[in-house]
Formats: sequence, C-alpha cells, structure tokens
Amino acid sequence: MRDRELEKNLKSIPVKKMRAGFRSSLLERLKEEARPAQAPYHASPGLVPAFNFVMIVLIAVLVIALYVSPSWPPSQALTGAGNTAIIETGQGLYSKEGLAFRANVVKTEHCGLVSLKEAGL
Amino acid sequence: MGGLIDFIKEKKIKRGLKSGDPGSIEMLFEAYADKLYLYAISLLNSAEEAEEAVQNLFLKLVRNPSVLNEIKSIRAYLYAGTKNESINVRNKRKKDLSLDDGGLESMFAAETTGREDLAVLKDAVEELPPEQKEVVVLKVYEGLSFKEIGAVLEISLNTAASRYRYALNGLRQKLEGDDK
Repeated sequence: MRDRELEKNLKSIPVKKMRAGFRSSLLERLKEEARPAQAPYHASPGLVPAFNFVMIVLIAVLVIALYVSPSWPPSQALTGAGNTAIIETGQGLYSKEGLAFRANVVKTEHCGLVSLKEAGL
Repeated sequence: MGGLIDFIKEKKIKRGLKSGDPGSIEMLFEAYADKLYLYAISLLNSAEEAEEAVQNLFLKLVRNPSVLNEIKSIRAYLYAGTKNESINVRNKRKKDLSLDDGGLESMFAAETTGREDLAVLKDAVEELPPEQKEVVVLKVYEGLSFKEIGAVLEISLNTAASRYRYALNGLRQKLEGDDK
C-alpha cells in the first residue's frame, strides 16, 4: 500500500470529538475571562520609550529652569493671601500662587507679609 | 498564499487577544479546540483529561495573553502548549491516583465504518510506539508540516520525518500481516 493510500485510510477513521456541552461552556467561560482584560489600557510598545524620552527632557528642562532662577530655592516656606505677598530678605517677591516675580524690590530687611502695593508693584 | 492568510489571521488574533476581544478567543477556539483535543487524547488516552488539558491551555492564554509577544506561530505554540498541559495533567493523575491507568481510551470514535481494514488500522495506530504515534497524529490528523512537528516536539525536521516513515512502515506491515 502506498503512503498516500495509507494516509487516506488513516484520515477516514472517525476520531473522537470534545463533548458538545463541555465545549460550549468552556467557550463561554473563555469569552467571559477575555473581557476584563479590555479595561486597562496598554500603550503600544513603541510609544513607551518615546514617552519616557519626552518626560526625561521635560523634567531636565524644569530642573534647569528652577536652578537658574534667582528666586530658587526659597529659604523658607512662603504663604500669602489676597493681593499680599511675602518678601524674603534678598530672595525676591512671591505672589500668593507661588509665582516668582523678578521684582526690583528684592533687597529689603523686611521678612513677612506685605501688600503688593507696599512691595512696590 | 495560504501561509500569508494564516499569517494575517494570526496577527489579527494576537492583537485581539491582547486587547481582550472575546471574538478573537472564539475564533482561535473554534479553529483549534477539536484538533488540540484529539492531540491531547492521543497523548493521555483519556477523554476527560484531554478536556482538562485543553481547558487549562486556553485559560492560561486568555489570562496571560502577553505570552503571545514571545512566540512566532500561534499554531506551534498551541500544540506545544497542549503537550505541556497533557504532561501536567498526567503528572497530577499520577499523584492523585497511585493506581494503574485503568482502561485506556482510544482517540478513535467507537463508531465503525464497516471496513475491516480500517478496524485493523485503528488498532495498529494505537499499538505504535508513542513517539511514532504522536508524529502520525500531528501529521495526518492535525496537518502539521515536519518543520512544525519538529518545533512542537523539539526535534529536528529529519527526526520527525524519519519517525513518520517508521510509523507508516509499521502500519503497512501490520495491514499486510493481517492480510496473510
């Protein structure tokens, strides 16, 4: 008997199949288990290094900007209310929101809460 | 051309599984469940354990689809996975039962075709050495190439082909012996 004929005979022998009930219940379970995986977002692998690079550059720029700024670092915690600000000796003028003004009025012995008007702005 | 279609389909299924698309697991299950079950039952000689092995394989895939990042062919992965799960199930059986195997179930259906030669052939396949029977199942019933069989069984293409050749010769001898 030739190989091809033998293979044909082998293929014509009926084989066992998975039980229909088990098959359908397993499929339903698999579909259920597949769904929760939809929730978390997985970034495309190619995006991750690009994102990391952008973040590193941004952080570096921020650190350099803060370091170069004459009003950084503040020597003490700053607070303010309304249009008032704290003037720190030799450091600069800070608004309530913490934004630093490169004000001319930076040299003062006064350290405490003053109005912006009083500070000369 | 079929290869290209398979490649595109595999890509689509991989993407779908990773994004948790139930349609992709359904597509994969419909395409492979019965085939993998047949392979498992040929290894385990137990319908129940074959179902368990296939179930474990698909559940692992659904729960951890990232394994697909590391594989080239889903098909080869599924067959190799079925073999591993079958070994796990068999080891568990050995631990659970310190008995013998009991009645071994055939991979062939009980129904008869009415042909005497096929009944002989059926028995002859079951009597093949396990490593030859495995290659026959993968080649004839699963339609894998020798290259794919080699990848699944971690043997060379030539070894897979020669096991197949020995198996066919053995089957032929049994059939001819029966004729005499």
